[in-house]
Amino acid sequence: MNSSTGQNLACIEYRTALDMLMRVPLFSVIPIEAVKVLACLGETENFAAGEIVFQQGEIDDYAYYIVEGEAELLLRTEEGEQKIRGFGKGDFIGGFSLLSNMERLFSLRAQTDLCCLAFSADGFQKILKQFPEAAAEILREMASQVFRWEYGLLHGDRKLCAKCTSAVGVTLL
Amino acid sequence: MITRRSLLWWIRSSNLKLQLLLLLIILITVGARVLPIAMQKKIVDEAIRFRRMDLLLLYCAAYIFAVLTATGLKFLMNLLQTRIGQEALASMRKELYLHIITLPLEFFQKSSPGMVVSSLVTELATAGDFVGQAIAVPIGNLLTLVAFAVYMFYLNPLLAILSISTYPIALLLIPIVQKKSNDANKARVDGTRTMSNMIDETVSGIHEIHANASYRVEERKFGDIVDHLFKIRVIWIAYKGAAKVLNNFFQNLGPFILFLVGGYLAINGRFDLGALVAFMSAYEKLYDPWKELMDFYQLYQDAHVGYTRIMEYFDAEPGYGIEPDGRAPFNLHGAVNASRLSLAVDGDIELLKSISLDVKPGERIALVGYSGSGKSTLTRCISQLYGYTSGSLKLDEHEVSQLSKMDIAANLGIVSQNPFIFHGTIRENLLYSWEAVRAGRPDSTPEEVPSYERIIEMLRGVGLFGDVVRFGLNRVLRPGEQEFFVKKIMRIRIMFQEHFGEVSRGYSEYFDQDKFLKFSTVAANILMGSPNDPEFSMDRLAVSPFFNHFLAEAGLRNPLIELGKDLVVSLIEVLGKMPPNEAFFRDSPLLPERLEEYGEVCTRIDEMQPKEIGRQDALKLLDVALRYIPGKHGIIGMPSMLEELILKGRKSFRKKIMAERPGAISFYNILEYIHSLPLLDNILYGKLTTERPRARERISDSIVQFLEEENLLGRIVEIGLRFDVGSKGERLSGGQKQKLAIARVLLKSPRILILDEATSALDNASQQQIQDLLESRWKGKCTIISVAHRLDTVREFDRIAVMRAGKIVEIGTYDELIGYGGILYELVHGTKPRVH
Repeated sequence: MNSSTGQNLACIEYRTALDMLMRVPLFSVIPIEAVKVLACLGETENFAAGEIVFQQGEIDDYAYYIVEGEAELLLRTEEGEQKIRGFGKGDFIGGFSLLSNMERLFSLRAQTDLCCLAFSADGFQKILKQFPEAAAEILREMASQVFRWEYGLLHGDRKLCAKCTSAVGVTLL
Repeated sequence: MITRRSLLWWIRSSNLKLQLLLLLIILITVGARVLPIAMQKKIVDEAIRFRRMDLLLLYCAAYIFAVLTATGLKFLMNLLQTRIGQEALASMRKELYLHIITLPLEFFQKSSPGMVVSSLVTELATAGDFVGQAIAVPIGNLLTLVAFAVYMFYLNPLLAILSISTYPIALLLIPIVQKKSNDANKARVDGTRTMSNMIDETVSGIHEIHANASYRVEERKFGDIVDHLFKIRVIWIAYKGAAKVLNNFFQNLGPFILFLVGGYLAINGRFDLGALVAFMSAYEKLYDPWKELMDFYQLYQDAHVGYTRIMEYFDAEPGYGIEPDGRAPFNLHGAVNASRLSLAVDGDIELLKSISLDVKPGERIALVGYSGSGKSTLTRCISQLYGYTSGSLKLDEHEVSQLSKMDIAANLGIVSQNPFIFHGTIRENLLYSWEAVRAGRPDSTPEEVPSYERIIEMLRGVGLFGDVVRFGLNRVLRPGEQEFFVKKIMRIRIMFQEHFGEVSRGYSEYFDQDKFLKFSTVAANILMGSPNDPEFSMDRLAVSPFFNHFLAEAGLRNPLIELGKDLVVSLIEVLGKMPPNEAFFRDSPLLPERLEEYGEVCTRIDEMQPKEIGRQDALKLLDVALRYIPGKHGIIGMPSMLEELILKGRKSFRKKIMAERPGAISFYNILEYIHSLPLLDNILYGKLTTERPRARERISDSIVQFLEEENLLGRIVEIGLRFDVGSKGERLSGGQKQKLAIARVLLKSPRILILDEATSALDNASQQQIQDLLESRWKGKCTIISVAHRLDTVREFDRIAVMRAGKIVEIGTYDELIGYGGILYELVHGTKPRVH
C-alpha cells in the first residue's frame, strides 16, 4: 500500500463535481436539480497506482468519474488477463451499475494515482424516486447509447471478425 | 368475517356493563336536568311571592345541587362514552388489520397502500366515535326531550302543544332544504375538480399556449368554468344559509307563541308567573338535546357511509386459515408433488400449464428458463402465495390449498429476489420467521430462543458475519457501558497500531494534535476530546456560552458563522426540496429533521452581512459549521486560513478548559478510550477516509483477528446485532438484505426451502458461500427448489427442470439434459447444438 493515498487529498467540491457531471452525456438529459443532488452525494475516492477500483465478478454498485489520473480496463479469461482499453480524466464508467446491480464483467485498475468521484447506486435510485421524469430520460439516453454502440460495431471503422457477428444484436433485446 | 359485520354489531358487542352503567347515569341526569326548572317555578311562586327567605335558600340549594350533579354526571358520561368508543375502535382496528394482512396477494395488486393506511388510521375513527355515542346520546337526549315535554304538559297542556308544534314542522322542512344543500355541495365539488384539472392542464401546456398566443381562447374556456362554478356556489351557499335560518326561525317561533298565549293566560290570571318562567326555561332547554340529536344523526350518517365503504373495500375472503383447525401444524417430510397443475388469471391467461413434477424429500431441483416462463409463479404456488386453478399440488400427502398458513410456514421457507426487511434490529429480523412459527404452536413446549452460537454460525454461513461486526464497530459506547470491554479495546488499539498501522494508513487519518483533521468535524478539531460535561456535547456546543465566548476570543466565531452561512445556503439550494431522508444528508452537516428550520433561516439571512444576522440564527449557523467535516462534506471547501485559525484555537481552548473548567473534556490521548466516538475510531485512533466498502472491509477484517485473539468477537457481534436496519431495511445494501433473508428462513429449519433468485444481488464468492452452506449443512435434510438466475450454479443440483411458457419442457440431471441437446444446452452454450 502506498502511503500517499488517502492522506491529505482534498475532497472534490460540489461546484467542481457539478461542472464535471454536466459534461457526462448520461446526465445531460436529466433536470439540473437532480444533477445537483447527485453532485452533492458524490464521494471522492483516491486509489494508488496499481490498486483495483473494481474487480471482475464482484458487485460493487458504484459508478466512477475520473477526476485525475489514468485507469485500465481488464478482462480475465481462461487464457489470462488482457487489457481492453484505457480510461482517463473526464471519463465516466459504470452507468449501468447505477440502474441495476450486476456483477462486474471487467476489472478496473488504477495505472497512475487516481482520483475519482464515486456515485452509489443506492443514492442514485433515491434521486430518481424524487425526479420520476428523470428516470424515463435516463432510460431513453441509455437505449440510444447502446444503439450507437452497436451501430458503431456494425458500420464503424473497426470491422468485426466473422465469428463475432453471430454475437451482435444487443439492440434487439 | 369482520367485513360482513354492521355497525350495530359493534354496539352490541361493546362493553355491556359500561353501557348499562351509562344508561343508569343517563336516567339520573335527565332527572337532574328537569329539577332546576321545577325549582325556578317554586322560587318565583312560593319563595319570592310570599317573601319566604328560608324557602328561597332551600330551593336555591336544591337548584345548585341539581346543576352540580348534572355537570358531574355529564363529565362521567363523556368519560364512559369515550371509553366505550375507543375500546370499539381499538378492536375494529386490530381485527381489520389482521383481516387485511391475511388477504390474498392478488388483493394488494389492486389496492393502494394509501387506502389501507387511511382506512385504519383516520376513517375508522368516526365509526368508533359513533359506537361510543350510539346508546347514550340518542336515549339521553330523547328522554330529556320527553321529560321537558311532560313537565310542560303538566304545567299547561295547551301551551305545551302549541309551543312544541313547531318541531314537527321543522323536522319536515329542514331535511328537504338540507338535501338540496347537499346536492349543491356535490355539484360544487365536481365543479371545483373541473377547474383544478383545467388549471393543471394550462400550466403543463403553457408552452403551447405561448406558442399559439392562445391566451384569449384559454381565458374564455376558463371563464366558462368559473361562471358555472359561480352559479353553483351561490345556490349552495343560499341553501346552506336557508337551512340555518329555518332552524333559527322555528326556534324563535316557540317563544313568540309562548309570550302571546302564555302572556294572555297570565294576564287573565289563569297561569302563574312562576309557571310561565319555568315554561320559558323548559322551552329554551329543549334546544340543546334537539341539537345534540341532530349532530348525532349527522355522525351516524358519516360513520355509516365511511364504515360501509371501508368494509366493502376490504370484503374479500382470506385465502387460507391462519392456524390449522384443532391440531398442531403438520411436520412434513418435504415431498412436493404437482400433477397437471395449472394457473390461469383474468379468465384465460395461463401462467402455468398442466405442470407435473415429483420432488422427493431432500432432493434439490433447479428451475431454469427464460424470464416469464413461469418459474417464480410455480414457486409461489408451492409456497401458497398464489392459488392455482386446476390440477393438484401436494406437500407430502396434503393438498396445498387445504393447508393452513401455519402448516406452510412451519415447514417451508421462501426467499424472494427482493426480500423485505422490516424496521427493527438485525436480531429482530433474524428471528422474524422463527418467531412466526413459534407463535403458531402455542401448545408445544416453548422452544428456546436460538442461542448466540447458533446465530453466529448462521451469520458466518450466509456471509453476514463481517457486516454485523462492522455494524458493531460503528457503535458509540456511552461512558460506563461495558467498562471491562472498553479496557480491552485499548489493548487492541495499541496492537493494531503496531501491526496494522501501515495497512490502515492509506485509509485513515490519525488524531494528530498538530494537524487539521479533514475527516473529523470542525467541533472535534477544536475540542480534540470527548466532552464529559453535556454543555460541550455536539447538540449543545453551539449554544454553550463558554464555548461562544472562547470562539469570540480566538477570533473564530465570525469566520465560523460565515462558514455556516455558506454551508446552509449551498445545501438548501441543492437539497432544499429533497425529503428529509437520511440518504441525501449522509454527506452533509445538515440534520435532515431540521431541514425545514434551515430553509427558513436561509431565506432570512440571504444577502445579510454576518453582523446583521440575528443571534438565534447565528447560533444555528454555528451549529452547522461545527458539524462540518471538510473531507466528507464536499458541498463547499474549507478555507485554509480557517484551518490555521482552528489549529491555533485548539491550543488556546485546551488551556482555557484546563484553567477554567478542568475535567469538562477528556482530551484525545492514545492511552484513553474516547467515549464520543464509535469503537472503530477508537481502535484506529483516527477516522477512516474512505466510504468504499472494500477498503472498510479490509480494515475491519484485520481488526477481527485481534478481536478474536482477545475473545471479544462475540461481544462485538452482540452489539452489531442491535444495529437498527432503518425503515424497510434501507440502511442495508441489497446483498445484505438477501443474506439476512436467507439466514432468517434457515433459522427456522424448514423442510422445504424455496429460493427465487435469492442470491441475485450477491457476488460470485458470496453466492458460492451460500451454495456451500446448503451443501454442507442442509444436504438431504431439506428439499430445495431454486429458481436459478445463473446457469453456472445449476450443475450442483440433483435435477434441473427447464420451463418455457408455463410448462416444464425438460427435466433431468445436468449431464442428461446437456447430452439431450435441448433448451438447457441452448441456454448454456448460447446456440443450438449442431446436428451431426
